[in-house]
Amino acid sequence: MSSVLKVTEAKKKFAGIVALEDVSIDIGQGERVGLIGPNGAGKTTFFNCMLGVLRMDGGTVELEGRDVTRLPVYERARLGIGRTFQRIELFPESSVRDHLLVAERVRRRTGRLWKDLLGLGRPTAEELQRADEVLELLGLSHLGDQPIERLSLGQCRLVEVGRALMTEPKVLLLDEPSSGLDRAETAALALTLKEVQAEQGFSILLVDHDVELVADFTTRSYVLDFGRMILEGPTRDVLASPEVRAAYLGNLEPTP
Amino acid sequence: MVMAAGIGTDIFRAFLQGAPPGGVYALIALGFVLTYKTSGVFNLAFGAQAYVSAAMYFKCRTVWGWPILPSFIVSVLILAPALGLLLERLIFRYLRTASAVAKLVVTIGLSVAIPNLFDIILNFKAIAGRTPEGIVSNGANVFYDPFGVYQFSRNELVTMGIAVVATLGLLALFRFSAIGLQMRAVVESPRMTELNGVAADRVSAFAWGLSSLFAGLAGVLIAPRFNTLAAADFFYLVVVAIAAAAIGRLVSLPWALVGGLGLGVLTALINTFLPRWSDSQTWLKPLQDNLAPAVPFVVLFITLVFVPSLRRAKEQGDPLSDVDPPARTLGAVVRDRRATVITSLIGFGVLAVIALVVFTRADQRWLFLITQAAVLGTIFLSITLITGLAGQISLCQGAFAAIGAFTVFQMVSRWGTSVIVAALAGAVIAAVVGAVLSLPIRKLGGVWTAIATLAFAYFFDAVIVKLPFAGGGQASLITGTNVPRPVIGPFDFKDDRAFLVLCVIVFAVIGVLVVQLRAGTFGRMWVASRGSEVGAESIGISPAKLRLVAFALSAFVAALGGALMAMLQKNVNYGTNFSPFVALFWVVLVVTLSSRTVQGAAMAAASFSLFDAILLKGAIFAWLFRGADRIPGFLPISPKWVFVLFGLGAVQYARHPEGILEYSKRRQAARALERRERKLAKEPAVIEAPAPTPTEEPVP
Repeated sequence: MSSVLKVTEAKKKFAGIVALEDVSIDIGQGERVGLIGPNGAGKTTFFNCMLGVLRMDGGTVELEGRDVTRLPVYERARLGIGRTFQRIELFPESSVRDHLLVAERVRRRTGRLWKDLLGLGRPTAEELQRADEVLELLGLSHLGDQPIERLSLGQCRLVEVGRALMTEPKVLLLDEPSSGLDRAETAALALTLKEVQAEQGFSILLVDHDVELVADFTTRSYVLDFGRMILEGPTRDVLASPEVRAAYLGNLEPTP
Repeated sequence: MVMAAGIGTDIFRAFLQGAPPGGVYALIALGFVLTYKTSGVFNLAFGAQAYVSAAMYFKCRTVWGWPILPSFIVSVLILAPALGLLLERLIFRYLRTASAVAKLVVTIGLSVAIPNLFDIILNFKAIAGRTPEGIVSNGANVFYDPFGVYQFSRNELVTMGIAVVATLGLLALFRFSAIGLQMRAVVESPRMTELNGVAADRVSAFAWGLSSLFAGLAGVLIAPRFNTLAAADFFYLVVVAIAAAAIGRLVSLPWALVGGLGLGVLTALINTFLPRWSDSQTWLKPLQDNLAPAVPFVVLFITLVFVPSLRRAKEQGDPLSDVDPPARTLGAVVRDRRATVITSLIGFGVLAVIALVVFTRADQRWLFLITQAAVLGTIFLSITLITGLAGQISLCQGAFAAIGAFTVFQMVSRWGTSVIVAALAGAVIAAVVGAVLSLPIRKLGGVWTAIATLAFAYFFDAVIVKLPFAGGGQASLITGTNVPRPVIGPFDFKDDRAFLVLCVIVFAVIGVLVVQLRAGTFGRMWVASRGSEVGAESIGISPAKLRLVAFALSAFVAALGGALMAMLQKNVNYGTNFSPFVALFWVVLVVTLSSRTVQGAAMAAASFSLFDAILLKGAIFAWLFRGADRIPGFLPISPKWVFVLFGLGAVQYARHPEGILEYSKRRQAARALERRERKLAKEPAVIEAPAPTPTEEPVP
């Protein structure tokens, strides 16, 4: 199984406080990997380092063997790192379909200023078709023309997934997709994601608090605590391990 | 040895000389920081508040001849806090959770509206050349020389003393009092603070009253430095104060004081030493007189670009801001297609009738006003591009337009270039300037972009305009900056009607291009980036590139409009046409009406050019009732009402960033929908479920 996203010995300090200490991760082709850890473990920091939102103090990020450590967020996105957001980051003035169309145009790199000025910048039939395919895939077809303000949170998450899918990601990073959703919505989202992934074959890294979701959704997991990767292995074993219990619940010793 | 002592004395003298104006800057900076710190409002209207007190003091003291104390009490201790409380109660209380950019736009509108409203209410007119008096008797004429190198006037000493006392008082308030703590909490999140049982309204009202008192105090103290009271000078001072405040990252009061003093001293140092260097370095000569007044703007720009904590401080919104609904789309998007077609047909019909009337009936004055509207429409389309499409507030559109005008003037007068070629060259130069300007500020948040462009506008105003190869330098003051009308093939645009046609065509072409752009790739990327910059980045959009294209295009269009403006008036007339304060009003007009649409730009231009002539001077009554003697007796009313009405109109930007035009369209569309639904409700068979059907599949 070839590696898609590989982070080697990521280091990050904030004003002298170590947030990440030699954190490494390796996601294979078509894998669904989990990243868990208690609050303040450095999950978000690590996530942002992978995406390029934060600059690392050391270590490398490789996408399919290519070093992307120094590239900005948008270039990593073009190369195939897709993401969703914990706090929805959709475009409030766009319809659902517009979200996908703009992503498709950016992926195709066919947008030119002179084309816009000549009136050739409108979505093409091909682009519309691809957007409709992805909407169909996510079960959003009937919402294509709706503005975002009419959507539920679960639907917004799906639109974010759809927007990311349009970029044809090699790996999709999901930032706490279950936050704000109830159990049924989370399960539905997980199901849709599994189906889509089975069809398209990209990899997924899931960062989440919801242990149940991680157990159900991922095959392999990493555990981050106090800025260090303390454990890695099949999700089932990881979740059962005493270290994870200790990290999540604290050492179960009576307080003095 | 003698030489060294001389330099030492000079530096010392520069320090003393710079201290009083530095104290002045510091005072405004303190008040500015106070408003920012306590209410989160980036208050550009602070200068307007200062102006009101200064003008009131002038009215009491000079016009009515009151003694110092009652004048001071009325203008500073009563009027200033009252104005602050009023602003808080009527406007800013309702905007606490609005975005920082929205609040900034509101204060821009107010800085245009407040001075004019004051002038109208009190029938105030500054007496040209009459220097306002200070708050001590004979303050400008009694001098003290404690060190034997520089003579302080009594006014200067009082100003410095008050600056120090005010800082200490403010610091004590923030550190040691309960209200100080509450004020800081309210900044973090008014809603959170209220949840903790603090009456956020009362706290922010107190803060506004206090900071407005500062504005008033500063205004009255500063006034003696001007020959004539003018609102624009006070606005300029706020920008200087922002430079001082930016040094303290806008939150530190002591640093704001240091920043203010530092700016004063730096300016004095440059004034002392630059003339000596330029004796040997001739290339410095043209800069010599102009660099010192530009120091604050250079400092401001550099601070914005190079102080990382400012750069990173993008809008830190209220943590509870999620509960607010998102921004609105264009009215046309939600409206019935048929309704859109019908209204635009009617619109074009009306335009055709107007065009016919103008061509057959209009005299020279009306032709001029209408052509001016068409030209301004072109300039305003540059604001549609940068603000409406790209979502950035740019306050240097005047400078871009001036680049176009000056280029035509220079190329035609020096080399006799064709006017049209020169105008295009000017547009290209402006586009390059815009693109280059966008690079250092590419990472700044919305408010800081606005301030950086304002700094650039004032830098342009203070330095570039004065250079011989740009604004024409000293020579242009005597000979003027003449610009001829173009000649294209058989068409000679010396004829005013022909020139009007040219201007309308340029406006129409650029308008069409803007519409194309909005529907194209860049338009959609701008919508995305405007909605969520991180969201846009996550799909591979480069925000820096978007910004660069927006600034370049916008500058291009503005410069083209600026060139046309110069051709229309056959002169550049930089001060009346393109100065930063004028350009501020442009932005106010466009965002008030609609920054998103070509129609909005056209209406804004028509308002700028024709509102006064048609409505305030009553021409419309003369047309309707056929006769100039039928204009009602209360007309004409002051043209200042234009500024007041549209300045106050900008207040709605915080709630309806799409502008009045789009808002009314949306409301009409909503009403039509309501009517239709009511009709449908009477026939129950056709009712559709309005709620979106759930997408989630049942969980297995």
